[in-house]
Amino acid sequence: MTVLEGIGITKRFGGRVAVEDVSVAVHAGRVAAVIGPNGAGKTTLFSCLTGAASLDGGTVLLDGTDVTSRGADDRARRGLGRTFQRLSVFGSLSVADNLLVGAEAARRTPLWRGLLGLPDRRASGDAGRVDRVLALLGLEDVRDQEARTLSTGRLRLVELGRALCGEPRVLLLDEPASGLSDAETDGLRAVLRAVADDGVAVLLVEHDVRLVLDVADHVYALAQGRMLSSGTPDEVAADPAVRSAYLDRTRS
Amino acid sequence: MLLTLQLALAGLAFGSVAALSGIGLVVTYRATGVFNLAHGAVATLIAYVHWELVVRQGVPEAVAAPLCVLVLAPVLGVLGYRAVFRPLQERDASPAEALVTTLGLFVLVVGFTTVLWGNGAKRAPAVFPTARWDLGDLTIRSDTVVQLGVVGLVAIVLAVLTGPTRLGADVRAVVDRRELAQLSGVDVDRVNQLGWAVGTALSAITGLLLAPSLSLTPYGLTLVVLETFAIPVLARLSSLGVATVAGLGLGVAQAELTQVHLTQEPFATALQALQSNLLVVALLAGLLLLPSLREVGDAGKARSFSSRRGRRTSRRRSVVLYSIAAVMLASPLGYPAEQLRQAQAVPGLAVVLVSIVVLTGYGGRISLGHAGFAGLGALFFAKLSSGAPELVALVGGMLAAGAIGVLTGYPAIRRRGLFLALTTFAVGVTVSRFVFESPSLTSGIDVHRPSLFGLSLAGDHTFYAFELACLVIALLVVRNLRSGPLGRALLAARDSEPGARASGLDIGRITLFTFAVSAVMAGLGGALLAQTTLSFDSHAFDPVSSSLVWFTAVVVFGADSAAGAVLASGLFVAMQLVTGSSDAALLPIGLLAVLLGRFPGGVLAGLGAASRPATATVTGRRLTPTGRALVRQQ
Repeated sequence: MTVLEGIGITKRFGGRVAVEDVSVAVHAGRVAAVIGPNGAGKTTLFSCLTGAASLDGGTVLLDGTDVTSRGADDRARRGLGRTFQRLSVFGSLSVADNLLVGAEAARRTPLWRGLLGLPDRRASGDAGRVDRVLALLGLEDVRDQEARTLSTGRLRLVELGRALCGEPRVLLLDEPASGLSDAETDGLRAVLRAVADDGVAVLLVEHDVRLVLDVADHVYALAQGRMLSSGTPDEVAADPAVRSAYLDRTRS
Repeated sequence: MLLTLQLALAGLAFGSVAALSGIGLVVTYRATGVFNLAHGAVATLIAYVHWELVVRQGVPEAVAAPLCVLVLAPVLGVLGYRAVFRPLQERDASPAEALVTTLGLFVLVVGFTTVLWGNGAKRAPAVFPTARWDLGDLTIRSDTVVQLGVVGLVAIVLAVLTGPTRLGADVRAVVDRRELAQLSGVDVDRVNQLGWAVGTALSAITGLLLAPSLSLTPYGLTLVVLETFAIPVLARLSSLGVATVAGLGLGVAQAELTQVHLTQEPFATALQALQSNLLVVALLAGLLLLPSLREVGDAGKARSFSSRRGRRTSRRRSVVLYSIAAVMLASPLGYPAEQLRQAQAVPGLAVVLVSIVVLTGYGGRISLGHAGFAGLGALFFAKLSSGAPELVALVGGMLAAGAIGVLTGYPAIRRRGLFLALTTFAVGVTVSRFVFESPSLTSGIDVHRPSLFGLSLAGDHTFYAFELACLVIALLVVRNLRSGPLGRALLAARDSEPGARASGLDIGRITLFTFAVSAVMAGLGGALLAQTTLSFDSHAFDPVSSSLVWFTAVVVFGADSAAGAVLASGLFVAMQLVTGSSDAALLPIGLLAVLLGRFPGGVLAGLGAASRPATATVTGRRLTPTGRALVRQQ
């Protein structure tokens, strides 16, 4: 089932075309990946899908609903979880509280209830979910630590955990492996597989080609803002256009 | 036609001074990256020094004025830079911290001026000879001509200096990327010192030229200079040419407005207010219409002067602080009425200061217009209580303040740092000028103390107890704002807006909510203050002596510390009682704010940090830009 779909996405900055007529689809239980050399438009495409940037053309469908003109927070409440290449954790909150925000924010509880100190009746499952996600990501040892004190690699996991606590239907990950050690990358691979097996649609933008070819079910290769190739990892890896544009250069 | 010309000349006289002030602000900003909120206070200080020299000491004008403008002011500017702003830069402080430091400087300088020369109005001597030449029916004043000449000279000299010269290139490089400029061999220090020297010299000229046309008082002249913020805003803090034209143009426009007459109310009153407040309106309109002050590099987040770290702040510290505050607040109940009355201002002011904590410490937004909210609460309470029960009127006043708070919150959704600071300041000044100082709205007001279910609270002890109850309610609201899902959501939005949005938090909704809560609370505090004095006094809600000073005090005592806000309120009242002057608290608060660069997070946090064992940190003091960047990344 298609959870997130971008159709004919176009984005310009001034006169420069960053992404032109790119279409992607992410299915429940599957992992899709976007690859491409620097400047290919991966991050721009990502921003268009998450609502961080407005589109100059095209449509974004989330669960069949047109969300093109809706903001990032709205899409998040509709089940779009994401992480950032430039980390955006809540540094002054503990790791567990970071995850709790992920669980609570999507519910849009009236703010005045909190002001009057009224409890949120729907919060009962939050603590359990936070504990499960902490265990999944191996963050239990730092659960009460202030987030800003952690290493980049673990902060990436905190962000991932925050997104997972929002019970996303689709999870978008921007360079999740950058700054991670080899061991951490292996852990990430297992987590992504587990998340997808849970029925979540996953889309990642990633430089680590080995991780992509390993974990992705479907790969989109971008170059200069256009779709160069798309298919299974093997098909894309074998595509001569992709090899010349990206793979060979990073391998060498 | 003749009248138009004559008015234009009068307008040019004021416009040229306004232009000089605006140019000074732009120059300092461009060379140093600091928008000097103390510009007006410095102008006033120098005007007082000039008055002292000429009137009291009998120094000839030809010596006194050049001494003030060319020697004293630049020296003060350079000293201020070396003592206060250079340490901030070396620590890589945020623009928000620099902003608060200029506020501290403002408070300190005003306090200093008041302590030395008092609050009484002085008649300042004219700087230039005021000969008049009659050309037919047209009278030309010599000082207008000289002032225009000065503006032209200053504009040309600065245009050349910042233009195609080596120095101009250096200035532009420093403004663009301070660290890169330093790495490529630009003497950043020299550019900064020059920026401060020229900026303060221009503020000195502004003060000297403005003072004779007004009566010289510490706050009065300061506010007039602050109104010229309209000019750097219109010039988008970058163009000296636009600043010059805007200053002259606004001066002329304000003068020409006096030709317009309207008879129909309420337009006649509004026009009258506009005629004397065109700069204020231009400031507000400019700030609201400009989509962004990108030149301001408004990355400033209030987070940086807030030390709050999630829920797990040291519980012991807050218990100790609240115990001190509780004992301090409850003890007056045992005093006889006469002494108790002197403490009655504490809870009301504390509620106002706590409302600033809500917005700045928890919401991460700067507000330099809180006296406007508090005053609206007081005014609407007073107006409504003539026809409704006092408690209903009190709620009405709070809602009125909240409504303006929400209106102010809208532009705050997309504005940060300096841009937001100026916007809220402009709102505060506008409310003060068009509402609080409008005789038709504020004359003949009777303020009563409320009664609670038939129990009168007019007695001094019962009223004080009522005030304490209001403060406790405000503190309970604050507790709720920092705990549970709401507290986490506020902290999340403050820490990382993209992250908060990606989690599903609606930043706009949270911003409006925080502004509304803060403004309602400020309205309550304002109404309590009015009930304390049994009067509505527009000076109690002044945009300069209240808004700016209150905000500075809150930041000094820790922007996120409600207990600190209560203590600050006690300090204000206690200093007033001890010294008999309402401005006595300015000196310590200003001094602490200026030193904030050394105690990030406020005095209390600073003391707390000093009592903790030092962790291994590298201070930026002797590091190269690269080194600092590395330290920052860790």
